[in-house]
Amino acid sequence: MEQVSTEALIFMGLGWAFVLLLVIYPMKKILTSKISYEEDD
Amino acid sequence: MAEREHWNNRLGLIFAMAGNAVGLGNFLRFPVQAAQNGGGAFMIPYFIAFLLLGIPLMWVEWSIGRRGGQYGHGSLPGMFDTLTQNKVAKYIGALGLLISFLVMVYYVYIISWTLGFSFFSIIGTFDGIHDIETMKTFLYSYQGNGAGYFTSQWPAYFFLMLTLVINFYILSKGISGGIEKFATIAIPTLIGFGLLLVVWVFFLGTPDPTKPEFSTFVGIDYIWKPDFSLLTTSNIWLAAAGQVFFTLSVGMGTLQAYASYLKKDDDIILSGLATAGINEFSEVIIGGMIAIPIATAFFGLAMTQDIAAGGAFNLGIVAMASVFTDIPFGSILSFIWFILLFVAGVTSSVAMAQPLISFLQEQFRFNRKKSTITVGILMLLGVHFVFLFFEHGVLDELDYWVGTFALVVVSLAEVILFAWVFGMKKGWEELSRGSDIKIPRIFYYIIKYVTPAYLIFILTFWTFDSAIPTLLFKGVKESEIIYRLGARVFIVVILISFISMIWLAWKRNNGKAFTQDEIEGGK
Repeated sequence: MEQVSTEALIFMGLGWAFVLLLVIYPMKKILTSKISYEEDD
Repeated sequence: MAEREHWNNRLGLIFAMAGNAVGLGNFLRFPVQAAQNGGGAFMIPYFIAFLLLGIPLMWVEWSIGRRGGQYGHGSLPGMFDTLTQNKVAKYIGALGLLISFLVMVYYVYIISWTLGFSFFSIIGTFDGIHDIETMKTFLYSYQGNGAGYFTSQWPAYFFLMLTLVINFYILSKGISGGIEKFATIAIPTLIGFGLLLVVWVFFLGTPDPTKPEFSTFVGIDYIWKPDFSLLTTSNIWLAAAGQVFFTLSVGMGTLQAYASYLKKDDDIILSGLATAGINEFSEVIIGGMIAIPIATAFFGLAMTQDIAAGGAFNLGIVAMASVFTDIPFGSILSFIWFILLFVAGVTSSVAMAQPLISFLQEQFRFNRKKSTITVGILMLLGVHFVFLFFEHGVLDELDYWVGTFALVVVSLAEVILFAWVFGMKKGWEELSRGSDIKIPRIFYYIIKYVTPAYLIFILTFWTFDSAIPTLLFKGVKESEIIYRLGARVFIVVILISFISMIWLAWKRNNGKAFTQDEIEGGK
């Protein structure tokens, strides 16, 4: 792991954080608020 | 009265949309692009393009699709026609049919290689091959491109046919019974397999302690270490925009086709974000962590850079297959890698057939079975063209004009039709209807001004940088020119055929889509 430079770690961390936010925010909202297309029926 | 088909549930739709976006590019193209364009610095223009180009275009496509579905249209000609009431718009929509159909023609051939390689992994066909050059010969001889391990193209042909059968079996089951069911299983499986390989990358570290520089961590550093000096060059910005463009599958007519099966007030903004999130997870977290780190651990960084420069298939198929023959449980890991690529490919390829299937149903009153069989037969004819003339550059020619250049043309056309012809005010209302979250107002201006300007910039640059040289066969072998010309004739013939079909449909029925009742009682 020491072969990964600090700059690489920082950019990897930022990239991963952005992507995780992009998955977790909408999915959490969809799954927990039970907003479902079926409820329109 | 029978209703138009709809998605069965929201997660199913999100998985199907994500499946459309997640493809070979996430696992093969992204790491190569990132590594060649400044590593961590690449992520700056990449995420900027994602926000200014990818997300706005994706929302516009979902919106055009959902609106088209209200008029019974599942393909671009009808969607553009109802959106603008302009006589020419439906013919621009022919490009949507052309792109999705022709990209599928060569894409199924590519994903059939991964199916073949997953099978070879299990039975140990390439077990004795440890070096890159021999593995390259193995792949080329499988493709019928030079002598080597395979004495005929029958194995490649068998896996190609099997891939086609799998695709059309899923499609024959319809939207909720086929595509949605498949995606609901495929996407979690694909992510599970991907994460398994990512965990393995972390544990693998330095497989040979005598060569500490041969390490997965050196590969991770190579992908993520930023080279800021490249940010001042246009190439990195164009490469990032191109990657965002391809990864979200915009400009193909497939997102719109899937969105047409939404109901009038179904949310598209939050679902669209969730889809983009799953795609980015597969690309940045899984795709960025597998091929290059693994290749670096076994071949070293310098050689991995050479392999990556040779293209995504060189890295993802040749290098990865060579690595897996060298390690314990290699055949299982190899199978997981190639089946992951295959599943990612199929979730995308089924989406590519959908616009034409919808078009035949809604404009020519073909029922599901007849339209699927018709598209299947057309596809069968098309893949033979690619299969037989692959070694002469036919696939590359199709990929450039249809799978690259035309995507930008369609995206530019649709964002102009949506924001300027239909009107951004009405467009904003269309986007916001039923939305579960409030769209930041800034996207009103991004969609109206920034996204079209960004696309015009890309299109202009590509026209001078690559389209004109490609058109003039710059750097193409003399012997390939005739075949590449044949590919262009093939593209033009298919485009003229689609334009004629649109003309006929509008002449007969003024473009009005047949209802579900009429389709079910159809020919």
